[in-house]
Amino acid sequence: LPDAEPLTVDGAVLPLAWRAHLAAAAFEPVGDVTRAALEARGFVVITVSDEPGDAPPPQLAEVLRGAA
Amino acid sequence: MTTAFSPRDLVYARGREWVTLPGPDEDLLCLRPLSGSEADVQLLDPALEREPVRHARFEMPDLKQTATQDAARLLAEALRLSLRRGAGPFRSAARLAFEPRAYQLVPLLMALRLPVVRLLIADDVGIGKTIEAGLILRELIDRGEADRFTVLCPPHLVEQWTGELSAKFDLDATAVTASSAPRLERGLPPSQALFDAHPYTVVSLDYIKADRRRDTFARACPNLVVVDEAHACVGTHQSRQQRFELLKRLAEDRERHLILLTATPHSGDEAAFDRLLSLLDGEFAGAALDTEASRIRLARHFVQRRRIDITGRDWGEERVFPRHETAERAYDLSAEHRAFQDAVLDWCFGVIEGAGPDQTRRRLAFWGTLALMRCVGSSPAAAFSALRNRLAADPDRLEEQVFDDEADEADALDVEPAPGLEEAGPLASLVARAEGLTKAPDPKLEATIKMLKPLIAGGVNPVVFCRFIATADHVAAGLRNAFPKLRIETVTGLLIPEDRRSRVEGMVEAEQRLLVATDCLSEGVNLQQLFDTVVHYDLSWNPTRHQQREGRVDRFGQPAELVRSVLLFSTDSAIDGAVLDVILRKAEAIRKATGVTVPLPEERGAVTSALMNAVVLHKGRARQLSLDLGLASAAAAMETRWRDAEEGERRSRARFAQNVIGPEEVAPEWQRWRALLGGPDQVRRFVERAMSRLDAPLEAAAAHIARAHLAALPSAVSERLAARGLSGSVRLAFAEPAPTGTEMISRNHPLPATLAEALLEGSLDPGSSPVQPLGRVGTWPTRGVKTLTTVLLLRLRHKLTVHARRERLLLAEEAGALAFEANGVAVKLIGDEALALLEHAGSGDLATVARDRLVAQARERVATTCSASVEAHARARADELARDHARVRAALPGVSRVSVEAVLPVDVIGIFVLVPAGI
Repeated sequence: LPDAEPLTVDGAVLPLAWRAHLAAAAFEPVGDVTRAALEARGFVVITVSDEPGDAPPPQLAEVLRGAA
Repeated sequence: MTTAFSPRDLVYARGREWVTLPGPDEDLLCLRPLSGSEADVQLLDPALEREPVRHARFEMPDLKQTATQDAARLLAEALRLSLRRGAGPFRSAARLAFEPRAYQLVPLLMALRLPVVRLLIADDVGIGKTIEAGLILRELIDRGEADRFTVLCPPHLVEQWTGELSAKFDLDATAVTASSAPRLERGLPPSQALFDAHPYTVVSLDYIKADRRRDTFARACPNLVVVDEAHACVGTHQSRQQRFELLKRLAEDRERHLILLTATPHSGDEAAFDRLLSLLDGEFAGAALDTEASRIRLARHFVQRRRIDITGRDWGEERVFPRHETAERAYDLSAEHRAFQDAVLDWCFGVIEGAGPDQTRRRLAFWGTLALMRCVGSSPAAAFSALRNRLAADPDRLEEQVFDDEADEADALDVEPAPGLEEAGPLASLVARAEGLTKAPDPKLEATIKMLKPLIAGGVNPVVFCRFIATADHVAAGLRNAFPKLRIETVTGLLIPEDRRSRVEGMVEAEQRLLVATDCLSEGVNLQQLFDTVVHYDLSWNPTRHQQREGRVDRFGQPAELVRSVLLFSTDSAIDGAVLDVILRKAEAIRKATGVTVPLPEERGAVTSALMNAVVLHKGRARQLSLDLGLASAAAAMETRWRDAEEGERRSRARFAQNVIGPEEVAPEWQRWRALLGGPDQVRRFVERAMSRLDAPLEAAAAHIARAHLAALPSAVSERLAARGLSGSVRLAFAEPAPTGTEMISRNHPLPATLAEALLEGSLDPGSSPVQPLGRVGTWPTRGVKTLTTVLLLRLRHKLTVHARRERLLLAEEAGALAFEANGVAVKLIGDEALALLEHAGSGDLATVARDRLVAQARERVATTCSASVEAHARARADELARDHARVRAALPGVSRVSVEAVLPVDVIGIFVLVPAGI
């Protein structure tokens, strides 16, 4: 499950955040500045579809490996 | 040369590191051990080696070797403490087991500015001449400028020298004395000389007493020589003449480094001083120092500093030496003792008058009188022994004993002299009276006990110096009765030097201790760790002997802030009064005026006459006798001698004490030294952390003191420590001066050195680690960074080529650290600033998958984007090292030049990724 609090960086809000995994996801494409700011903090930023699917996107699954 | 290696590569084979050389066959490797000589070159076929020959470097960290933040910090500190082949301006810095004071680097800097080291170090007693000479020895050896050395010293200092060289400088020297030489020679093949088999030696002056040995020594002598107590080799007495001839012969080899040590270079004897200077360079002999230019030239070879020069404004080393309080305690003789002393004196006068006008007989009678009166004044036991001891006296030896000349030979100097006076009837009654007094109350001993009581109650640890063995035994017995709870030992010339030292060292566990010693201990054995007070039970007639006695406790390394010395004398004693008036008070006045203790004037005839005059005139004895003996002018003549000594000392200092290297020149080198190796705080932090990591945490005992329980360490580590002389529970001191019973923990002390080696070896070779290995990669969140930061721990290595007549390749290595920005290109921080990032508190934790991802990405960056910056850093350090070397080893004609090349690729020891916390 993502953290309860969304991730806010330089005014941009990423609704899904797994801070212990240094991972964040947004339903909209993330701007270059925000992405760079997050990557400079060690985060992996992923854009996901807002349509629910059977399984998380593989990239997200990879960075969340081992999460409950 | 095989294709895998190029000339000048560093390779690892047969358990050690080598440098590859161009070889005769491309299938063979031509290798020279690092720091080895051409004679050690070997050809090796890699195909036949059991262990494959490889480049001497460490592989990149394995991603599975993960570390916590604590482990990362320990690894960084272990790396810094383990790199023993020093970079920085001094190659020897990492080899020392102590941290020298800045002022002690002055002679080293002077030495490095000379093409061939010819140095006269004439610092005062207790400043640290041994340390200063040891620093030069270690540095010249580590620079490859010398591969053998000899320290030439009096017999009683041999053990002190070998001990200090081993403990402080990691130099294991062989003691060569008259007694050890035959044993050393027996084990050698006929083709090998003693000094070839033992490259580092401490040679006793008694070894070179025989002509044959002197000649052998001169022929085989190493090209680096230290002469301790050098003033004892330049006098005109026969034995000294031989020593001077030997040193002159050694000095004739203009390539030989020669370091002369003495606290009393001048002492008013122009001829001896002249000889001393001539050993530095023939141009300084004779009247050659009359010009300013020649004196400036000499200043490059001559350093002479008093205590006040070190503690004063320039160096500001107030705490290096303790405060020194001196006191005098007069005591009254009992009527019985006074009558006995008068009777002995009357008897002596009778003998003198009986000697008639013959000068030789009269001179002998004077010395006999003075010798006997010294014993009488010392104790009834010494008087009894001397009066009974009716052997014929050797006039030369008697003179030495009377005037407390330094004993260069091995024979005892504290045996009661045979006065050599004619036997006569009344003597028997004097012997009987002396024997009777040995059983009566002794006012001198009682005065000593009274004086000591409040001091002992205040916790001091005194050394009571006596002139004679009989007195020492008598005093020790009396003090044991008076202070039954105190640990009291006696050390006299009856013990061989090794036993003297072990008896002193055996007192370390005692809570409070008192030592009764004769002057066999006033030189050589340093007592500052165990004692803080000196009592001159007997006046020495040589002022420098008083200085030497006090110098045993009043010196560098004394843990007490205050040391005391107390001088005992009797107002009733003819001999005490004479010695005080004629010698000690005069010397003290000169010391106050010039800051220097001048030795007894060499012109002993004048001293004898002046002393005799004072004795004769004591308490209104017949002035006629003084006139009859021709002593009336003696006091005036003596005054002139002292004035000459004072003037000589003033003149000498004014003329030669110039162009000395000052603190402003030393301080930057000193700072580089400390920055590179880590100061005491870093060593303490490492020991605390390492001991905790190994389940043997330190137990705090007091400020800067802790107790280490070594048995609790993993057995592989405690066994290594035991092999280096450390076991059980040990009290550690982390700040100087180390109190008695503690181990001063410096960078090279066996404890931090062993812990660092064990931890680093375990980390680099986890398979054979004796301890839980430290990881080499890690990541943690911290508020200490705002962006992702990668800290690299590096082992930087530099090839140093010394371009001299014989080119040598040496290796320097140092721990380095770089902190990179998130992109892995830009360097954010270097060195200590990068390491400081590891100290910021961690904040929270990361999921394993995130940790794995970050360290894998970081390792990838290290191999790609970071590598250019890492190599640029290594080259910059190499350039800096070359500048350091050029600066301290000033480019003079004949001085070797050093070029430095970074060894690439750099070894990356640790990779740690810091993630900004709190987003």
